[in-house]
Amino acid sequence: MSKPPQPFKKRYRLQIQVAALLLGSVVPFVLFAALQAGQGILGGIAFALIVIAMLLTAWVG
Amino acid sequence: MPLTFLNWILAFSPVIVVLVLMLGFRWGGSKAGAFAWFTALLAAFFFFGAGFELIAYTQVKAILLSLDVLYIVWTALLLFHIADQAGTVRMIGQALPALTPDRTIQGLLLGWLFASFLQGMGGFGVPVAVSAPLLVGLGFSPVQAVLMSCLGHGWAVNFGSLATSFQTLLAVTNLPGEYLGPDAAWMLGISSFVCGVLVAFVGGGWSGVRRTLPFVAIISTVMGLAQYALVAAGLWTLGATGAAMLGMLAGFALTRLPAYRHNGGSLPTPEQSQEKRSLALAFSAYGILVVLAFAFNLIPLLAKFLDSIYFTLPFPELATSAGWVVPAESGRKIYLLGHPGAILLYSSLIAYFIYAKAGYFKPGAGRKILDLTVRGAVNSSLGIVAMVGMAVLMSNTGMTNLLAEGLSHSFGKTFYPLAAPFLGALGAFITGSNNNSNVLFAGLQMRTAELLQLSVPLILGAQTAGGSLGSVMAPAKVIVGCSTVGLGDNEGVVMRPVLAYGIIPVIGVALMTLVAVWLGGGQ
Repeated sequence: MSKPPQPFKKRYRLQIQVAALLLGSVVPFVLFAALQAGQGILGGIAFALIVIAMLLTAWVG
Repeated sequence: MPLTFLNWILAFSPVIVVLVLMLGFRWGGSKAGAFAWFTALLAAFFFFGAGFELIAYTQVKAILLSLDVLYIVWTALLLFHIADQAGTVRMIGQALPALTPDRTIQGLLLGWLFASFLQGMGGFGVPVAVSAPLLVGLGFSPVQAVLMSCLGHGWAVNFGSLATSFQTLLAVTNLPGEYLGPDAAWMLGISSFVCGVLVAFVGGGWSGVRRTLPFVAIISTVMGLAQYALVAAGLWTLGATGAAMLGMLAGFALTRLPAYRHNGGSLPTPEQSQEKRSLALAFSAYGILVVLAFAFNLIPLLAKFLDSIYFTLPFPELATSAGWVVPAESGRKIYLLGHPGAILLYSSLIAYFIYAKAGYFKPGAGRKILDLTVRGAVNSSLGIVAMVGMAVLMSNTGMTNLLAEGLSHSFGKTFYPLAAPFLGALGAFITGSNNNSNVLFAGLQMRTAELLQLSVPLILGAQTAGGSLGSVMAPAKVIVGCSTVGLGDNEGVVMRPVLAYGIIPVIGVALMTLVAVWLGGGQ
């Protein structure tokens, strides 16, 4: 009898955590560059990615 | 932002979220930290007048601070797993009972003395990350291990890490170390006794405390006097390190006494001699760490070279629409080669080479070490990024300042000495760092002491001693400890007893400060 498949969150938890950590720790430097260059849209996108990283953390943390 | 009860509660809301989720719902630090980050973000934007630019720059500042901490967390875990995969952690765990069969003394040697020594050499999280798994190896439960290693080193934080936190206190207040050092040194010296008793209690209950009380009293006297002498002599950078080294020597000497050596002091058998040779190799990973840390910090030319390569970012002046201004500043400097994390990395590489040459590793150990390090560190890292992000956001939007003002205004001259160490502890609890607590509150404590005509060095001593002892209760630090003993998703189980026991030394400092004021030392 085969084992039931693990839920997505449980199965890929480590990968999602790594993705969240990479987003949360690398994107702020893109955000800094965007702020320094006055690139509002790029800054907004970068900040949105940081928010996504926090949402992922809240989900699988 | 005016100080009203509603504003104060709003400023406190991110901390409330962390406390409720971790203590009430027993959530992990990363999940609770993320929710607290969102709470801080919403409070900052809707109630404290923070615009997009301020929030965005704050997040960049926070990641610089986080990376400074994560550099140590990842490399400390790497060093531990190298030692563990080589079988040396088990070896140390088996060797300590040979030194003394007394289980509580074993716990004190690792959770109190070794952790304090590591605090002197390392910094954020290193004592907990390294000593907690060793305690588990000795047979203590994971919860006991994290508790003991957290509580044991609290007295050593302020003058540990080459007195980084104390140096920050001097920088923020612009006062000399000879003026501020002694008060902090005697408070933390006495606290070392309280920390030792707590470790003995967690490890051995009341019977353990009764049996080891002379042991704890003698060693804490040695450490307290040594730290005071070093600080009074102007050598505060070696305050905790020197004191803990003497404490360890005294501890090893005391275990030779019949009272703590129930095996009758027999000479080692040939097998035991063989074990001692292996033990020297087993300890080499941490021996290398000690030698490198001393070399890097005490050889000025080497320190200058290693500190010449660093990374930082400049930040402009930022202001909220409520009028809170954050001056233009340089962000945290991350010294790529001279950082404590770099020292841990060098130690890891050298230890790996030594253990590999000695044939200690099984096939595939290298891959397993990396895998365990990633699995152990990633969730803790998420928690640290979220918590530090919340703390910096609170600080840069005036929320932390409002919290401090509310606390200080609630106490008059009579009771402010009682409140001062709690403010230091609160700052350390929120930010996870004695250093950051001093950044946040030292100026406020100094001004309040001047206004209330209290002794400035006494109140600042209470601030930094409270920060030192309070930092061990910080969720970020508990997360680090939990990650190394297999409690990575269950930090809430540890948080509750950490808070219950961790507050005791802070209460002790509060009482010491009050008594000092009553005895006339407060003017």
